[in-house]
Amino acid sequence: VIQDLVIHAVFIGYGLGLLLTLGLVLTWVERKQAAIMSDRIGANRAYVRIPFTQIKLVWLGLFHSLADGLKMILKEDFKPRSYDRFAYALAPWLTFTTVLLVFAVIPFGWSSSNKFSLLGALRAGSQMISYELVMGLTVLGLILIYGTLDLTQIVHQQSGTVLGFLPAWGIVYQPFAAILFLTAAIAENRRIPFDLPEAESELIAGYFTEYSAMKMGLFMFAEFIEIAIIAALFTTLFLGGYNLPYMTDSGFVLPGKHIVDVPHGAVVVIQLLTFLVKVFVMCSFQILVRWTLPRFRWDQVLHFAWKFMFPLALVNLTVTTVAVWAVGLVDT
Amino acid sequence: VNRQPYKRKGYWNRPAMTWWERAYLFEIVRGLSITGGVFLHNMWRWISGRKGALTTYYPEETRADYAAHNRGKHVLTQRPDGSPQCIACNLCATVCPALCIEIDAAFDPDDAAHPKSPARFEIDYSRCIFCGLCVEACPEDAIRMVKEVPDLPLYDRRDMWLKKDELLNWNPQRDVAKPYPARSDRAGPA
Repeated sequence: VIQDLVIHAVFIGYGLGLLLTLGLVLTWVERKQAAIMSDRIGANRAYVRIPFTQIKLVWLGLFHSLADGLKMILKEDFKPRSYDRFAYALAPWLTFTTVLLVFAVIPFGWSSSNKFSLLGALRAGSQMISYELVMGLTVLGLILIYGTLDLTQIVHQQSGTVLGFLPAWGIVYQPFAAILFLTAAIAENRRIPFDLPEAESELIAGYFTEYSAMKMGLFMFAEFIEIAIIAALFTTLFLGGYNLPYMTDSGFVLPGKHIVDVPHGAVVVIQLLTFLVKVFVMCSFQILVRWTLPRFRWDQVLHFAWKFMFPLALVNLTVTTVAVWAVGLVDT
Repeated sequence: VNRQPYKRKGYWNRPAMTWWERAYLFEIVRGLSITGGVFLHNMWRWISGRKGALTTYYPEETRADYAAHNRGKHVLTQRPDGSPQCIACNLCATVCPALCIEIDAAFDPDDAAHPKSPARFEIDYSRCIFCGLCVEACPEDAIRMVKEVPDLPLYDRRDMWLKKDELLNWNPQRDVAKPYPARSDRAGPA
């Protein structure tokens, strides 16, 4: 039992470390990608000078995230005169910690075989009820297909191929669910085009307007970490997790029965890298969405959820149910 | 009298969208592919060693496309012996709308042709507005402006004065239209 605890602690620590790093890097990626998308250069002035030399490390402006963090720590922590002292101080930490805890279960909730890890991951990553509903419905379709809530099993089942050449990823089985899930997830992260709760132009910063310095920083940071969480969830559910197409534990099996043997260690490394790359691509895609689409109006957001996505998710679920039932009939 | 509240019949600019645009998703994909395409294009340019953005990294880079007649940094032209062509007449300092030229004259009784010369000729680039009036005012073609711009970004405005030495020597120019005799030849009667 102690051994298990230690192993899990190490896994969770790894997850948290990965997550914090991703969040820190994403602040930079967002600035840089937005700049490159709009024909600009982006932040490139912050540098670290090696002591006693004139060598300045710029590294494409990577140190801007450090500079931002330092600035937020050093700034005055301004508090409004009228506030609930306890709730005010607690809120950013609550947001931040829950977000961190969600990710702790994502890669290694796979091994917990607990439906609460999945539900907790979905719930803690979410703020808005309506989109959570859509998200849950889309995931339900997947669960119907895979017949399990265990994320490890779900990823494992995505390792084969469909029709001989398509990778058996969730996105192939459930393309509509994938789109709906991603939309709902972005909506729950409250970023443009769904950033109505924050809406700089109307509400300054929405619910964290009165927060200054590092407390505001924690909210911002939590947002970036949520991007990483969404990317990891989407990769796990729809993009086959660590699976590369045509790859098994012993090597590649290309269509046409070409078999390429790969040693097991290399397979593990490749799968780790595959997961990371997929997560990064999904993060990048979310940033692309955020810097491309204009914002919805508030009523449009709710209409979109209840009149468009919710029925679509229901239809998708119904069709999936019937299809799974029919396939079951054929098999027996 | 009709007391009914005004009812708007419709917006004159009501957007007429096709079903394709109404479906929303396709247009989103189109928009994403435009921005994503710009991103990939710029990334590819950057990876292959070119710049994606047209932005010039100021102060590290100088734009190559300054016009030949751009009014940039000043040059004091010089005679063949290296002395400034300026005769310290103060016309440029007088006409300067920013009052950024300061000249102290020196007197050389041995040089009959040009007895006056600038002992000190300084331009304050923190105030210069690059209007070029000094160049127009100069009767001797002693001050010119070239297309290169001065390296202005500095931490102290007191460092933005350009002294005579630099004005003479950073880009030495002389007036080819006026062949000057050697100094020994034009020494006046002592």
